[in-house]
Amino acid sequence: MAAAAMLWWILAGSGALLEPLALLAILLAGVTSLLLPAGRPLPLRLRALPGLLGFFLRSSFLGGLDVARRALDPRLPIDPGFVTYRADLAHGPPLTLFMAVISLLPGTLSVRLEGRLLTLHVLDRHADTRAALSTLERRIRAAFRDPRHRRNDTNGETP
Amino acid sequence: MIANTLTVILILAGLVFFAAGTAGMLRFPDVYSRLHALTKADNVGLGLVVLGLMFQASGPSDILKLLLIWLLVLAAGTTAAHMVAQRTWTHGEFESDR
Repeated sequence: MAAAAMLWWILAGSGALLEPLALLAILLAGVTSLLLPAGRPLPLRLRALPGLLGFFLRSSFLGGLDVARRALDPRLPIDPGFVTYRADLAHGPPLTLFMAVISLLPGTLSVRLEGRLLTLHVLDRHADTRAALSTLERRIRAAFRDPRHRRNDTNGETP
Repeated sequence: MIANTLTVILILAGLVFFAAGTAGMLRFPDVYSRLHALTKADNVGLGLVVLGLMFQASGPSDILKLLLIWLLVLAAGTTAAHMVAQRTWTHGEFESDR
């Protein structure tokens, strides 16, 4: 409910917050979100989030800088290729976030996921991709409580 | 005055990244490499433009709106890049390379 009110405030401004339609919409959104079968709440560790956010902002900026430099360099210094990487993250939000962020790190692009085996495209085959990936993986693992500790025995969800 | 200067500097820097992303899309040799250029350079470019516009915002709700736009474009961009890459992996390149 608070989130819906905040969204309305962001989109329409504070003046529109007390209109009858706004109240109706906020109320309906709140009730809907309570009625819908919500998934498990995200098992986030709030303390690790600022670190992950800082790491993401820094490395995605470096990613943009890196690819911009390569694109504008007259010699076009790229050496593209594929790399596989076995991620040790739980399926669901952690692995999804991992694959999404990979595409914004310097020189990596997530292509395909089979089980936990990732296929990545890299712009520079000689860059130390693996170190960057395991740093990211460690940070994401720190930000989520791993549900596998509870689900390991019933785990049959590997595609 | 300082806010306006910052806005101009940040937006110009952002435009450089957009131009670089476009240059990469034109110059890189295959679909995957082009995706690198589009997602990463445009993300930083839009981030800088959004940051520059924040100095012109009239209140916190404007700043949050800009932040929301950036986050949604970020999520859409990385998801779309992954989907194009995956489709290319399973179905081959869309076009022959020059």
